[in-house]
Amino acid sequence: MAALSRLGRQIEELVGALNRLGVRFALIGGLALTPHKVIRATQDIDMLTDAISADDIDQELLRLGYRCIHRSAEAGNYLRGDERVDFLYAHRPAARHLLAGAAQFTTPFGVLRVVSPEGLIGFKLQALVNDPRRTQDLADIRALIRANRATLNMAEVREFFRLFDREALLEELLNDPE
Amino acid sequence: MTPNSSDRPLLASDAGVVTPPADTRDPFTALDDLMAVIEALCPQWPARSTAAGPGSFRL
Repeated sequence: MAALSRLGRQIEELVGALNRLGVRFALIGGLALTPHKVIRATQDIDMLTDAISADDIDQELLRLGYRCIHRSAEAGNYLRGDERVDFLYAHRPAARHLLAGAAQFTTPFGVLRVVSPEGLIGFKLQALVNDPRRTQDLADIRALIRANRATLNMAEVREFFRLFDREALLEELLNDPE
Repeated sequence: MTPNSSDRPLLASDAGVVTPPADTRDPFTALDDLMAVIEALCPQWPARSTAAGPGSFRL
Protein backbone atom coordinates (compact mmCIF):
# COMPACT_ATOMS: atom_id res chain seq x y z
CA MET A 1 0.00 0.00 0.00
CA ALA A 2 1.42 3.38 -1.00
CA ALA A 3 1.90 6.09 1.59
CA LEU A 4 -0.82 8.76 1.80
CA SER A 5 1.16 11.51 3.47
CA ARG A 6 3.99 13.59 2.02
CA LEU A 7 6.23 12.49 4.90
CA GLY A 8 5.26 8.89 4.16
CA ARG A 9 6.26 9.28 0.51
CA GLN A 10 9.54 10.89 1.56
CA ILE A 11 10.27 7.91 3.85
CA GLU A 12 9.28 5.52 1.06
CA GLU A 13 11.72 7.15 -1.38
CA LEU A 14 14.53 7.26 1.18
CA VAL A 15 14.05 3.69 2.41
CA GLY A 16 13.97 2.45 -1.20
CA ALA A 17 17.21 4.30 -1.99
CA LEU A 18 19.00 3.05 1.14
CA ASN A 19 17.85 -0.52 0.55
CA ARG A 20 19.09 -0.34 -3.05
CA LEU A 21 22.44 0.98 -1.79
CA GLY A 22 22.62 -2.01 0.52
CA VAL A 23 23.58 0.02 3.57
CA ARG A 24 22.49 -0.86 7.09
CA PHE A 25 20.12 1.69 8.65
CA ALA A 26 17.45 1.97 11.33
CA LEU A 27 14.87 4.57 12.24
CA ILE A 28 15.46 6.62 15.37
CA GLY A 29 13.73 9.86 16.44
CA GLY A 30 10.00 10.54 16.44
CA LEU A 31 9.19 8.07 13.66
CA ALA A 32 10.80 5.24 15.60
CA LEU A 33 8.29 5.72 18.42
CA THR A 34 5.56 4.31 16.15
CA PRO A 35 6.01 0.54 16.64
CA HIS A 36 6.72 1.14 20.33
CA LYS A 37 3.14 2.18 21.13
CA VAL A 38 3.68 5.94 20.86
CA ILE A 39 2.32 7.59 17.71
CA ARG A 40 2.87 11.32 17.29
CA ALA A 41 3.32 13.76 14.44
CA THR A 42 6.85 14.57 13.34
CA GLN A 43 8.48 16.63 10.57
CA ASP A 44 11.84 14.93 10.25
CA ILE A 45 13.27 11.54 9.38
CA ASP A 46 16.04 10.46 11.74
CA MET A 47 18.21 7.48 10.85
CA LEU A 48 21.07 5.59 12.44
CA THR A 49 23.56 4.10 10.01
CA ASP A 50 27.09 2.73 9.98
CA ALA A 51 29.70 5.49 9.88
CA ILE A 52 31.38 3.64 7.02
CA SER A 53 28.26 4.19 4.86
CA ALA A 54 28.21 7.98 5.31
CA ASP A 55 29.90 8.80 1.98
CA ASP A 56 27.65 6.48 -0.07
CA ILE A 57 24.55 7.90 1.60
CA ASP A 58 25.77 11.46 1.05
CA GLN A 59 26.11 10.85 -2.69
CA GLU A 60 22.71 9.19 -2.90
CA LEU A 61 20.99 12.03 -1.04
CA LEU A 62 22.58 14.62 -3.31
CA ARG A 63 21.31 12.59 -6.28
CA LEU A 64 17.80 12.71 -4.75
CA GLY A 65 17.99 16.50 -4.59
CA TYR A 66 18.92 17.02 -0.94
CA ARG A 67 21.67 19.38 0.11
CA CYS A 68 23.95 18.74 3.04
CA ILE A 69 23.62 21.47 5.66
CA HIS A 70 25.97 19.91 8.21
CA ARG A 71 28.21 16.90 8.37
CA SER A 72 30.63 15.69 11.03
CA ALA A 73 31.99 12.34 12.15
CA GLU A 74 28.90 11.99 14.35
CA ALA A 75 25.98 13.25 12.26
CA GLY A 76 24.78 14.54 8.90
CA ASN A 77 21.81 16.81 8.22
CA TYR A 78 20.16 17.08 4.80
CA LEU A 79 17.46 19.38 3.48
CA ARG A 80 15.32 19.35 0.33
CA GLY A 81 12.90 22.27 0.37
CA ASP A 82 11.17 21.85 3.72
CA GLU A 83 11.97 18.11 3.87
CA ARG A 84 14.67 17.11 6.34
CA VAL A 85 16.64 13.93 6.92
CA ASP A 86 19.13 13.55 9.77
CA PHE A 87 21.66 10.73 10.12
CA LEU A 88 23.58 9.64 13.19
CA TYR A 89 26.68 7.65 12.30
CA ALA A 90 27.28 4.59 14.44
CA HIS A 91 30.94 4.01 15.16
CA ARG A 92 31.08 3.41 18.92
CA PRO A 93 30.16 -0.06 20.27
CA ALA A 94 26.87 1.07 21.88
CA ALA A 95 25.41 2.56 18.70
CA ARG A 96 26.69 -0.30 16.56
CA HIS A 97 25.07 -2.78 18.94
CA LEU A 98 21.76 -0.91 18.75
CA LEU A 99 21.94 -0.79 14.95
CA ALA A 100 22.69 -4.51 14.75
CA GLY A 101 19.78 -5.32 17.04
CA ALA A 102 17.17 -3.15 15.32
CA ALA A 103 13.98 -5.05 14.51
CA GLN A 104 12.66 -5.25 10.94
CA PHE A 105 9.15 -4.07 10.02
CA THR A 106 7.16 -4.22 6.81
CA THR A 107 5.42 -0.86 6.61
CA PRO A 108 3.46 1.18 4.04
CA PHE A 109 6.82 2.94 3.43
CA GLY A 110 8.75 -0.27 2.70
CA VAL A 111 10.80 -2.73 4.69
CA LEU A 112 12.75 -0.91 7.35
CA ARG A 113 14.34 -1.44 10.73
CA VAL A 114 13.70 0.41 13.97
CA VAL A 115 15.89 0.63 17.06
CA SER A 116 14.64 -0.93 20.28
CA PRO A 117 12.64 1.20 22.74
CA GLU A 118 15.61 1.06 25.13
CA GLY A 119 17.95 2.31 22.41
CA LEU A 120 15.51 5.00 21.40
CA ILE A 121 15.41 6.22 25.00
CA GLY A 122 19.22 6.31 24.93
CA PHE A 123 19.37 8.40 21.74
CA LYS A 124 16.67 10.75 22.98
CA LEU A 125 18.53 11.19 26.24
CA GLN A 126 21.70 11.99 24.29
CA ALA A 127 19.79 14.63 22.30
CA LEU A 128 18.28 16.08 25.47
CA VAL A 129 21.68 16.28 27.20
CA ASN A 130 23.15 18.02 24.15
CA ASP A 131 20.29 20.53 24.03
CA PRO A 132 18.16 20.77 27.19
CA ARG A 133 15.67 22.98 25.31
CA ARG A 134 14.54 19.86 23.40
CA THR A 135 11.57 19.22 25.68
CA GLN A 136 9.98 16.95 23.03
CA ASP A 137 12.74 14.41 23.67
CA LEU A 138 11.92 14.35 27.38
CA ALA A 139 8.21 13.96 26.59
CA ASP A 140 9.08 11.06 24.25
CA ILE A 141 11.20 9.32 26.89
CA ARG A 142 8.34 9.68 29.38
CA ALA A 143 5.82 8.31 26.86
CA LEU A 144 8.08 5.35 25.94
CA ILE A 145 8.55 4.40 29.58
CA ARG A 146 4.82 4.63 30.27
CA ALA A 147 3.80 2.64 27.20
CA ASN A 148 6.46 -0.08 27.54
CA ARG A 149 7.12 -0.23 31.27
CA ALA A 150 6.18 -3.91 31.58
CA THR A 151 8.57 -5.03 28.84
CA LEU A 152 11.48 -2.55 28.92
CA ASN A 153 14.91 -3.88 29.79
CA MET A 154 15.39 -1.47 32.70
CA ALA A 155 19.02 -2.52 33.25
CA GLU A 156 19.82 -1.29 29.73
CA VAL A 157 17.80 1.89 30.24
CA ARG A 158 19.60 2.56 33.55
CA GLU A 159 22.95 2.09 31.80
CA PHE A 160 22.08 4.87 29.32
CA PHE A 161 21.07 7.25 32.09
CA ARG A 162 24.29 6.39 33.94
CA LEU A 163 26.33 7.02 30.76
CA PHE A 164 24.93 10.57 30.61
CA ASP A 165 25.06 11.15 34.40
CA ARG A 166 21.27 11.48 34.58
CA GLU A 167 20.34 8.72 37.05
CA ALA A 168 18.29 11.21 39.09
CA LEU A 169 16.21 12.07 36.02
CA LEU A 170 15.38 8.39 35.51
CA GLU A 171 14.22 8.05 39.11
CA GLU A 172 12.06 11.12 38.62
CA LEU A 173 10.54 9.62 35.47
CA LEU A 174 9.94 6.24 37.09
CA ASN A 175 8.20 7.89 40.01
CA ASP A 176 5.95 9.96 37.75
CA PRO A 177 2.29 9.47 38.55
CA GLU A 178 0.50 7.92 35.58
CA MET B 1 -30.96 -7.23 40.88
CA THR B 2 -32.35 -4.22 39.01
CA PRO B 3 -30.65 -2.62 35.97
CA ASN B 4 -29.73 0.39 38.14
CA SER B 5 -27.83 -1.60 40.73
CA SER B 6 -24.10 -1.29 41.38
CA ASP B 7 -22.98 -3.87 38.77
CA ARG B 8 -23.52 -1.33 36.00
CA PRO B 9 -21.16 1.59 35.34
CA LEU B 10 -22.29 4.93 36.60
CA LEU B 11 -22.79 7.55 33.88
CA ALA B 12 -22.03 10.87 35.47
CA SER B 13 -19.57 13.72 35.28
CA ASP B 14 -15.98 12.44 35.83
CA ALA B 15 -17.20 8.87 36.09
CA GLY B 16 -18.07 6.11 33.67
CA VAL B 17 -16.11 3.52 31.77
CA VAL B 18 -12.47 3.80 30.69
CA THR B 19 -12.35 2.67 27.07
CA PRO B 20 -8.97 1.96 25.47
CA PRO B 21 -8.46 3.18 21.89
CA ALA B 22 -10.03 0.74 19.42
CA ASP B 23 -7.37 1.33 16.73
CA THR B 24 -5.88 -2.09 15.97
CA ARG B 25 -4.36 -1.07 12.61
CA ASP B 26 -0.71 -1.31 11.76
CA PRO B 27 0.91 1.57 13.69
CA PHE B 28 2.77 2.88 10.62
CA THR B 29 -0.54 3.07 8.73
CA ALA B 30 -1.99 5.00 11.66
CA LEU B 31 1.00 7.36 11.54
CA ASP B 32 0.59 7.86 7.79
CA ASP B 33 -3.09 8.73 8.29
CA LEU B 34 -2.21 11.15 11.08
CA MET B 35 0.46 12.85 8.97
CA ALA B 36 -1.91 13.13 5.99
CA VAL B 37 -4.35 15.06 8.17
CA ILE B 38 -1.64 17.26 9.68
CA GLU B 39 -0.15 18.04 6.26
CA ALA B 40 -3.60 19.01 4.97
CA LEU B 41 -3.82 21.51 7.83
CA CYS B 42 -0.18 22.65 7.49
CA PRO B 43 0.96 22.19 3.85
CA GLN B 44 4.33 23.93 4.39
CA TRP B 45 6.44 22.92 7.37
CA PRO B 46 7.57 25.80 9.56
CA ALA B 47 11.31 26.51 9.53
CA ARG B 48 13.31 24.66 12.16
CA SER B 49 16.86 24.81 13.48
CA THR B 50 19.37 24.09 10.77
CA ALA B 51 21.75 21.58 12.29
CA ALA B 52 22.95 19.96 15.46
CA GLY B 53 25.89 21.73 17.01
CA PRO B 54 28.80 20.06 18.75
CA GLY B 55 27.60 17.83 21.51
CA SER B 56 28.35 14.96 23.79
CA PHE B 57 27.97 11.88 21.63
CA ARG B 58 28.56 8.92 23.90
CA LEU B 59 26.40 6.31 22.18
